[in-house]
Amino acid sequence: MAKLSNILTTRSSQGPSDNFKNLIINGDMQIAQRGTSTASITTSNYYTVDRFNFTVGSMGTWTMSQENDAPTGSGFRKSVKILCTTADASPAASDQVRLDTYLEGQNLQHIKKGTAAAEQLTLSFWVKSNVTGTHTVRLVDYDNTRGDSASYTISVSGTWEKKTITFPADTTGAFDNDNAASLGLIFGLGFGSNFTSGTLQSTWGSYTDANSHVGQVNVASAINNYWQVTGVQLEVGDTATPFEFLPAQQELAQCQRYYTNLYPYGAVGSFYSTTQCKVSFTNPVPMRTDAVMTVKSATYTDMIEQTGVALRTPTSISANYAGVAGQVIHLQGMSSATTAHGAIYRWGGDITTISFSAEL
Amino acid sequence: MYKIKTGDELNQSFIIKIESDKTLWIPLNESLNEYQEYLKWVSEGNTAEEWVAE
Repeated sequence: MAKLSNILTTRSSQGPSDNFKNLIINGDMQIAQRGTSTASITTSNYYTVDRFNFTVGSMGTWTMSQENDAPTGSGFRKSVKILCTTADASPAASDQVRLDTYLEGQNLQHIKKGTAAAEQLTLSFWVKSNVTGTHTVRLVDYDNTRGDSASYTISVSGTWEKKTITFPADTTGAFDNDNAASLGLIFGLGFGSNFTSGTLQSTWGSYTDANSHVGQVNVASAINNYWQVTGVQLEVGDTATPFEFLPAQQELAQCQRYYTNLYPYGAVGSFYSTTQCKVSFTNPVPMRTDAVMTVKSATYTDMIEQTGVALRTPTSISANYAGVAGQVIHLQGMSSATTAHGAIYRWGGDITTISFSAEL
Repeated sequence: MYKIKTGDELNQSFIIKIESDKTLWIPLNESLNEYQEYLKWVSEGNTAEEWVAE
C-alpha cells in the first residue's frame, strides 16, 4: 500500500494536464512527411520537418534537412538543419531568415493569457551551430499584435547545447479560442536593421519590429554556416521539465491535422463515364480546416486502377470537394472504362504526388 | 497564375494556382494562407480566369 500511495501521490502532483504538456508539435523533428531535404530555398514555406515553417525574406539561399543527428544520450534521434548555400553578409533592412512554428488559439486557453492568472511559459531546446554568439527567439501573439523576445548564447562551435528560457506571463490580450494561429515561436537566424535597430523586447508588449531580434548574429554571413535544432518544448510554468516523447503514431496524427499525403490505395471511388471517375479520401485525422490539394505535375501515370480489370491513366486531376474529414478528387482523360466500375488510387511513384495542407 | 473553378450543386468552388512543377487547388476559405495570398493578388488589381478542364 505504501508503494501504491507513493505512486498516487506522485501522479497527483503531476496532474492530468501533464499529458501533452508540450505545446509544440513535432518538437523532436521526427516527422517529415514532405521529405527529408530541400535545397535552393529562397522563399518561405514548409519544406521538410512537419509544423516548422522556414521563413526566408530575400536573405541568402538555403538547404533545409532532417538529420540523423542529435545530442548524445538525450533520447533524440533527429534534428532539423538549416544550411546556408548562398551567403548574404550585408542584408538589406527588411531582410530576414528564421524558423517558425505556429499554434492554434484553442490549444492555448489554459495559458490564461490576458488575465490576472496568466501563466509563464518555459522554452527548452537543443541547438548546434558553427555561428557562435548571441541568437534570438521570440513569441508572437497574432491575436493582439504583441511580442516578447529573448536571447541565448551559442558558446561552442559545432556542439549541441541545451537552452532554457522562461517567458513572463502576459496579463494583456487573450488568445482567440479558435483554430487560427494565435501564438508563433520564432527562432531567429539573421535579420536586416528593421528587426535589430531597437532594444530587445524582453517583456511582453506591443509588436515592434525594431525590437524583435536585436543582437542576433547572422547565420547567412558565409556559405556553409548552419544552425540546427531539436527537442523543442514550450510548456506552462517557470521550469523546463523533461521532453515529452510521444508515440510515433500520435505525433504523426498531430502533424496530419495540418498536412497529409494521399497514400497509395488510400482513395476509392467509381467511374461515372468511360473517361472520368471520382475517388474519395478520408483524412487520417480531422484537418484544421478545408485543405489545399497540391498535385505535382506529370507524375500520375498508372494511378487509377479500374477494379480488377485494367489500369487507366488520367491526364487531368482536379479537386472536387475539400473538407475537414475528407476529400473528393476528380480524374479525367482516361479511356475505355466501364461506367460504374470501381476505381482505386493506386500509385503515383512519389509519395507526395498528391497532398493536402491546412497549415497555419 | 490563378484560375477559378466555379462550383455548382455537386462541385465545390476552388481557386487554382498553377506553378511550374505543381498545381494547388485552394478552397475559398479565409483561414488558409494560400487563399489569403490569392485575395492579396486580387487586391492588387488582378483577375483570375475561369478554369477549363483539359
